[in-house]
Amino acid sequence: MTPLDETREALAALEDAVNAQPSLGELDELRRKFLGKTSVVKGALKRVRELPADERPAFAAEVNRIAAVMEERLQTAAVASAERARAARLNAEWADLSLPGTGPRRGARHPVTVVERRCLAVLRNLGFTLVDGPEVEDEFHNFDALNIPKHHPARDMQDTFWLDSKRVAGGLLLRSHTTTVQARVLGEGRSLPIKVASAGRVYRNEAVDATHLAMFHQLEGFWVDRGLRFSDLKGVLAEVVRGLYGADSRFRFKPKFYPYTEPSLGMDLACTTCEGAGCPACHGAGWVTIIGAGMVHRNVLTTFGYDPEEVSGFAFGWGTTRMASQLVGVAKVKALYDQDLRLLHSIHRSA
Amino acid sequence: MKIASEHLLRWWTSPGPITRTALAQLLDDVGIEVKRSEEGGTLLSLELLANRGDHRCYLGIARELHGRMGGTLVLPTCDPVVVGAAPVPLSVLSPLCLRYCLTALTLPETPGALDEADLLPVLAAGLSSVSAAVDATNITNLEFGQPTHLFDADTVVGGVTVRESRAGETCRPLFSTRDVSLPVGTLVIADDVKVLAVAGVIGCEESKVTNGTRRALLESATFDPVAVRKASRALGIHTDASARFERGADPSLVEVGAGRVLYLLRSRVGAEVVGETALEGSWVNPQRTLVLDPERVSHTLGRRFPVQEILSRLCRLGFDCWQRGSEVEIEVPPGRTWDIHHVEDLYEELARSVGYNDLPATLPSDTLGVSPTPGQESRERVEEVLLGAGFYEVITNGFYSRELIDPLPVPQGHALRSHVSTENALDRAFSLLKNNTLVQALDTVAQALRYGQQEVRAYEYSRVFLPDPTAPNGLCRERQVLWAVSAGPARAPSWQDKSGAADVWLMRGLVEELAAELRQVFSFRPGPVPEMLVSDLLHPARRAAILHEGQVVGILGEIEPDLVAAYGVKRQRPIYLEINVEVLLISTRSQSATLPPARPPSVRSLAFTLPHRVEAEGVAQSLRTAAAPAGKPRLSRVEVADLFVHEAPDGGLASRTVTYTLNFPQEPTSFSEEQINAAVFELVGVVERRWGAAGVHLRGAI
Repeated sequence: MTPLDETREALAALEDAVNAQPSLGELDELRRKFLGKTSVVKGALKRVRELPADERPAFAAEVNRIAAVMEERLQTAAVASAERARAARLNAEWADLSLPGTGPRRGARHPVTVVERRCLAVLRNLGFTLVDGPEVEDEFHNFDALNIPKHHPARDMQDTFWLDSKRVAGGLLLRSHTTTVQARVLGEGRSLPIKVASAGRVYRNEAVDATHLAMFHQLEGFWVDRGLRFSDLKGVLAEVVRGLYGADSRFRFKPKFYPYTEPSLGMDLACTTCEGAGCPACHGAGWVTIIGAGMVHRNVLTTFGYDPEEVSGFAFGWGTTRMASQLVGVAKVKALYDQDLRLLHSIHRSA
Repeated sequence: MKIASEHLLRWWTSPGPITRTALAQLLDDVGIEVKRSEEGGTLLSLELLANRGDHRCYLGIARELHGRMGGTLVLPTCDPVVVGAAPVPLSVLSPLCLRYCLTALTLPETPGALDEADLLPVLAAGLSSVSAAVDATNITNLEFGQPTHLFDADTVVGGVTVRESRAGETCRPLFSTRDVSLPVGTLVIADDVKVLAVAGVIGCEESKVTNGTRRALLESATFDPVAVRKASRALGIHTDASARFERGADPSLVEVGAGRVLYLLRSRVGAEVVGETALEGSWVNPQRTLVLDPERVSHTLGRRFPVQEILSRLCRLGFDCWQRGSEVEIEVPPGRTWDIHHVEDLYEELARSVGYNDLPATLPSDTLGVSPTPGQESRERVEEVLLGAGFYEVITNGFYSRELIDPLPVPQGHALRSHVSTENALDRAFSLLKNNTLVQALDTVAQALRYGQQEVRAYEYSRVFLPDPTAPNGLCRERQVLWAVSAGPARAPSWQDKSGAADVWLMRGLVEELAAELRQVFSFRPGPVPEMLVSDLLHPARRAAILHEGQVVGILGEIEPDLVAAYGVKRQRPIYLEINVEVLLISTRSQSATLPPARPPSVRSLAFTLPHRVEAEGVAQSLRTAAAPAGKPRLSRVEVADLFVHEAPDGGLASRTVTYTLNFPQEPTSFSEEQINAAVFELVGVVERRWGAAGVHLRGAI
């Protein structure tokens, strides 16, 4: 066998070896074996001198070509081997992403707060500034100043929690509506225009059941200025409802009675559950009353020194508790006030 | 109120055909809300406006529809009432009786019955047919809104007097088996020996008509609304008549009411009037007039209202009105004097007669938006921290029961036992206004655990009511607080690892995050916090005051273990936090930042062993405040890096080794390793001199 035959045979042997998908370490061994100092290729090159001068160039060229092929095979095999090794490593690092996540879990605001914030944001956009008021109120701010005299049937509309008359003279009570803030703000004698929003807890002395609470949340806005009209009230309410329920929301107005407004109105929204067709959520009416409103009664303005011939105003309010129950689909509002973290979790986590 | 739509359409003839659905919509539109429609719209349950007593009858509803739509108002037949001599001696002694008419009549031996058509409003209202006499009075009330009453004349002794009740007077109301005491001053109808009726509320058993009654006295009257309301509330008796009178009845209708009862009983069962009808009372038609300026009406309602249209609409609603110059003068009918006082009341009449939805809506020009108040902004930021830490907002009641606070481990006389009480709560759970929020926080934990919720994180912006006679309202101060409670694992349990329990340091970390968010500095003072009401409800060795600029603004700590057990909480150690909301409202400091040093500081660690109850912060403070001579390395930061609790010796208390990380800036002056080491050595000396006597000693240095 000639040296050239031996070299070609070595190339065939190398190709067999790299086809067996050696590891990078085994490839190093193959490199030493087939291209190292003691390899057939190196041996063949050493024997060039033994050949006639005219055969040497062709011989050397052929051996070098075979050596280059070997080098290329080894490099290709090395790349393939590295890729196989990488793939094996990554496969070994498999993570079971079917397992639930473990990141920190965010809490959530109460649905009533969520609704209240949305409402206040809409009112802010219309220029109403939030003002807070006390929950322990006097009879004047809760009733008298709001045109609800003693023994007026309107007081029946709001069963009241009266407080500790033994300790203090005069009637103190838990505010039965956030309209008390209107009385307090007007009592400050602010200059016009007055544009205020108020929100918070109110109390009614009622037997509590799944849908009636002794404490719940209300929100209201009022605007007192020169020249305000009933049509302005309607326009502002329309903006409020579109801001809360969307530009295409359907609503209607109807007469209502509130002692502190005249004329008074109620605002109905087409039931968001049945879109007006009638369902249990709207008691078959297709409409849900969401807002009570009206032009501030002249007696209220007069009580606080505003001349009703010069100044007018309007007020509007709604129950954020009820709105929240509609939002999250919890018909029994009491559940929202039971500090039930399971319910709050499920509301927060529901898709 | 429940009405039969068929009967209503007898009173009001629509100008065109009207379906039952359209009728219901029309009623809604004029403010008579249809809450329920039954039997294909033949029966309508109505919710009436609280101020509109006149709506509580077919006539009032029909007039409202007439005002809106026109058509024809058809009044049912009434017999004429001839006013003259009283059938029995009649005295009206109280001005609270506005008008009182009394008619004597005989009833036939065979009682007879009214026509089925007559009874329709009674049956639609859910009432039973009793007898022709009683049914006739019920029909009249439902149709005209004029309550009437029949007395058995043979039970009346002497004359009839309308007066206020005297001390000790009693009566037995209809359907009652016991006498009831009448508050002094209650308006009553009485004969010479007994009370025949509580005026405007209910008749009495002794004088009621029965099938055996042959001689009757028919009362048709109007009473002062407040007097009726007081009597009704005092006796706890609410009737259709009292509901009508409380809202103000129409004094001009008493003869009409009597005439309608007389017509029904005469024409249907053959009753006969005896003599003339007596009419007494203090009422004088006030003939209240109001003047409407059409320009002003048009401006207010946003649509032009010509004079003729105003006249037409108000006339249809029963007002007498006429044009005077450019204005319209209106006389308020007697039945509306209770609710029509001002021109705005007439604006509402006009608006309703047009339809609120048919009036324009405008938007005033001044509707520029405003920014959130500082309080709103602050709360948003505080809540972001709480939410990020996994807390859920809950809402608790403003009050609680005595039973809920009974287990508190504080003696009588402790401020926690002092409450503002509700006087008339229907439910004992609402008997006390809360003076603290810890009890409800603990209740939240207990409830969560009962429901199997192991990880509890809850917070609330709430109010407490602290009795204080010096407060502006003479009763209490309201304090707004932010409270939070945590119990269970510090992190949400997962398949990956099991977290330790939430503890006081987790809550302190929350406060530190709040401080960072608000760019404020809060510090902590371990130990009792007499400034905070709930201090005694926290673990005496695991509580701390939260301070801001030297003032106590809050408290945190573990809830006292026995108290926790008393509320049924087992195997959990809830941590409570309370902060005065006022401190969270302070305007946040302006933001400023310094660039981090280009060269990192040199860092060293020192470990000191501290005996039980020597606070780690005390040693850290000594390190921080140690003076460094000029030109020597100065500490920029000291932090606790590690803590190891040693095993407690027999009968003793465990000591702890606390490792502190010390940072020495290398800017603007850089120091060699040897200089830093020398400075550390100096600091060891500082600590040993200050704390050596307390048992603190160096454990190691790196």
